[in-house]
Amino acid sequence: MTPVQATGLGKTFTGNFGRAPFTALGDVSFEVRPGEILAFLGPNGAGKTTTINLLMGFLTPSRGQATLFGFPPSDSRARARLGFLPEHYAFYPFLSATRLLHYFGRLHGIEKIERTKRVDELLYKLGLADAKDRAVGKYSRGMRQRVGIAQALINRPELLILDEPTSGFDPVGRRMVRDLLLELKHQGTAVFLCSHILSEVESICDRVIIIDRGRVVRQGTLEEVIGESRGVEVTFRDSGDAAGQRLTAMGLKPAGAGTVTAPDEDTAQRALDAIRAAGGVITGYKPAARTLEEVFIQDVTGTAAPEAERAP
Amino acid sequence: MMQRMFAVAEITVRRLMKSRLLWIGVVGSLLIIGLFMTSVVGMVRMLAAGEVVSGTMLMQVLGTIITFLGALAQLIAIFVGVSVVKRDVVEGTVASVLSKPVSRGEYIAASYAGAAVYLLMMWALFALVLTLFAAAFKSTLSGTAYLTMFARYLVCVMTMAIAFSFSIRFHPWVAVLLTFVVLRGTATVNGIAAVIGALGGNVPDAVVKVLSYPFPVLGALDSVADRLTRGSLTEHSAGLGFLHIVDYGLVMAVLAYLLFRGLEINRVRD
Repeated sequence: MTPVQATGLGKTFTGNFGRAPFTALGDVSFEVRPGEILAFLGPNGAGKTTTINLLMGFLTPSRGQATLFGFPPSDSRARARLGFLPEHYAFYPFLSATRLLHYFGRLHGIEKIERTKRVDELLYKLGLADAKDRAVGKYSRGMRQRVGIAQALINRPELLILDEPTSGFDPVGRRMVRDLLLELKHQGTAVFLCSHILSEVESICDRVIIIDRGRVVRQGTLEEVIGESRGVEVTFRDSGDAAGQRLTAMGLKPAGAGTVTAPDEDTAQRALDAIRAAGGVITGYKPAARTLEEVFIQDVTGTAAPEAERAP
Repeated sequence: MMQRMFAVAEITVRRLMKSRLLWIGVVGSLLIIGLFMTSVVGMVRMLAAGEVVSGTMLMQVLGTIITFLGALAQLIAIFVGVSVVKRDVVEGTVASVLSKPVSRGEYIAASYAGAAVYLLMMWALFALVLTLFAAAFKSTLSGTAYLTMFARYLVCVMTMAIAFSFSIRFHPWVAVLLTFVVLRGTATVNGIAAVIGALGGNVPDAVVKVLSYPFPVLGALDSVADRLTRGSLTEHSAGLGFLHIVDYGLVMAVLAYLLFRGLEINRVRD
């Protein structure tokens, strides 16, 4: 059974007191398959959290439908098999991490002996064992986020829906979450992941969906998404500016000192000929290794990322 | 299902017990008892002088204390009702709870039960203090006094249920206002009818009855309190009064569920 199936999912918030209706999500279709990490990306206001709220049954869709394991999102049978971490995780601040996890374990109907075992295991795994009896309200932001992740895992879910799971974490914490997600993936857990930290997403996800203003602008496997927009990067030495002028005449934009990116192989070959003809020396020829961040920025702004922002 | 509901009800009680505002109300109520106790010092002197009969005076004092406590407890009940679900929704904890296999009906029922248990604990505390108070005068509280407190407790639960259901769709202060309107609904309808009558108009009794129908009738339970001092209660009227209050509270809980069922939570624009 497919963990998540969304078909033509859309949400329009009706305007109160004469305000115009607002379409937060247009028409989004996707699925999350067992054992894969799907990254759901988009700029602020793109409709990510609305999508998550629709998947969780917190909002009613205006169009289309979503199912979790074949059940409607509000069905308890679906929620028994998933773990959820909202972007702003709220909890009862007077409870200790141990009590909080026991509480959520009770909501899942887990028996006390098993619950105790799982709580201890999660507290240890997430580095909270030393602070397990302290009130969660006195935790740092990163520690609270760890508790949030622990509560999402208390039922050993088959599907994890995570909204910005690494926000508030230091680099060590981020590494821990990344390793944890990979471990869960290998165990067959499907992960629906929203994150703004694209370098991390890129290192763990199998498929990517990029949405903007409530519409899917790109989706596919990581290779497809990055590969679609790959070009060829040519580096050269130019004694004057002759090669640069020839490349500009071809419609290419040499970036910096002796580097040009051609959109495809044919153009790259013509660029090589032009550089040689102008007396330049080719020093490098390789596929342009674009990052997910570059693809993302291009998709949501319509322009390529500035050179300075590109990952090394 | 029961385990889930117990868990939610338990957390509701714990959260209410942590609420400073509500504790201020409870402590305030206990202070009122204390104030009465100081006035009783004067009463003791009167007793010593043989000016009043001990039992009658004690009953009157207790009746007054319970009436005051009832009013204060009702106020606390309104804030309990308004805060139980609303706070979860505003703070976002409801998303954590409803992401687990807890249905909205279970959540509402368990929150309602938790709030009712909290109010019961509050009244048990009052009853304990009053029992100790009576014991200080070498007396004991009668069954009627406990019955009166129980009646007041039921009214508190009903009041909480009204505020509880309104708070789901309205701003907390609007919910508080609407709760007062409902509680005084019958009196308001009667008052309007009286004003119209005074202006020369005529509102038929049937219309007054129909307009008053949605509002709770507290008169039967007031008569329970009257028995403390006048002994005018019939068992029949008390039984119906209890039933009416409990029913009204349950109907409001069902209304709360219906309002909560379609409530969209986490309405953020990403």
